[in-house]
Amino acid sequence: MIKGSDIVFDIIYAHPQTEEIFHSWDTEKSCILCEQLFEPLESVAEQIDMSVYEMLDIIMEKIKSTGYNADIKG
Amino acid sequence: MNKIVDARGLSCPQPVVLTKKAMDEGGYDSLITIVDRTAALENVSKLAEKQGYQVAVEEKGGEFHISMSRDESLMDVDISMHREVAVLITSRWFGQGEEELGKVLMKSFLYTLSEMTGQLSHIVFMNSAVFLTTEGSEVKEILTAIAEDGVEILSCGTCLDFYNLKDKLAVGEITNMFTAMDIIAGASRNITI
Repeated sequence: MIKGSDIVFDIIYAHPQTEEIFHSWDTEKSCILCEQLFEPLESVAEQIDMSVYEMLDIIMEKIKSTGYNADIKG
Repeated sequence: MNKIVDARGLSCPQPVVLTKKAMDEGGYDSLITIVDRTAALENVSKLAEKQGYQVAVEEKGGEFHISMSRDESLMDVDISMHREVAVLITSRWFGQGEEELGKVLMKSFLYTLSEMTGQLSHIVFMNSAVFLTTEGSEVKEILTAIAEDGVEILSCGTCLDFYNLKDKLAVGEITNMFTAMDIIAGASRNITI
């Protein structure tokens, strides 16, 4: 289960299919996977003004729909 | 033997992912990742430091060669936290009042506990709280994650019997009053709801 205290990199490393979700939350001036890669999810949520619970729901939904054992992208 | 990860032309998080994969594979004395973007340089260096590597960076014509080698002095650092908090839950709903609100609060309480598992040692479920640890529980997933983090989840056997739930236990183990009270009384801090 993903938690709000989990680090973004740990999430995308274990579940590479979630990478596109983080890209979808990028803004014109900021890139989560460049600038906040080692921050906890709850900190990212605060910075992009989004509920961490909503974030967790979206991430978990993506993981469940694509399977837990997706390969890590090379 | 040196292992080289060529991550030129790749944007984050790929240089970091490739470096972590190389770290996980092992079999080298020194690991060198080559990147050509400053964000990748910063993130790969950060990863290496977090993983206990010593980092040296050399710039060569706009490219950064990040050399990483294990810092043995950091390898055996015990980062485990002392587990000292035991939690006793005595109802399937949090507090008294409306059932619907009690359900929401219980879910939120357990979710919050899941964020502090480094400090938790046990969660003991008594009376109707055993509905939370058995099949059909809405919080089974949260409790499973807590258990996977090393927290002991214990349900009162008498209570499971009373509610005909003994063969439906989904998370943790069965306990008795003596053991449960020993755990709660022996914890440095405890929470009862």
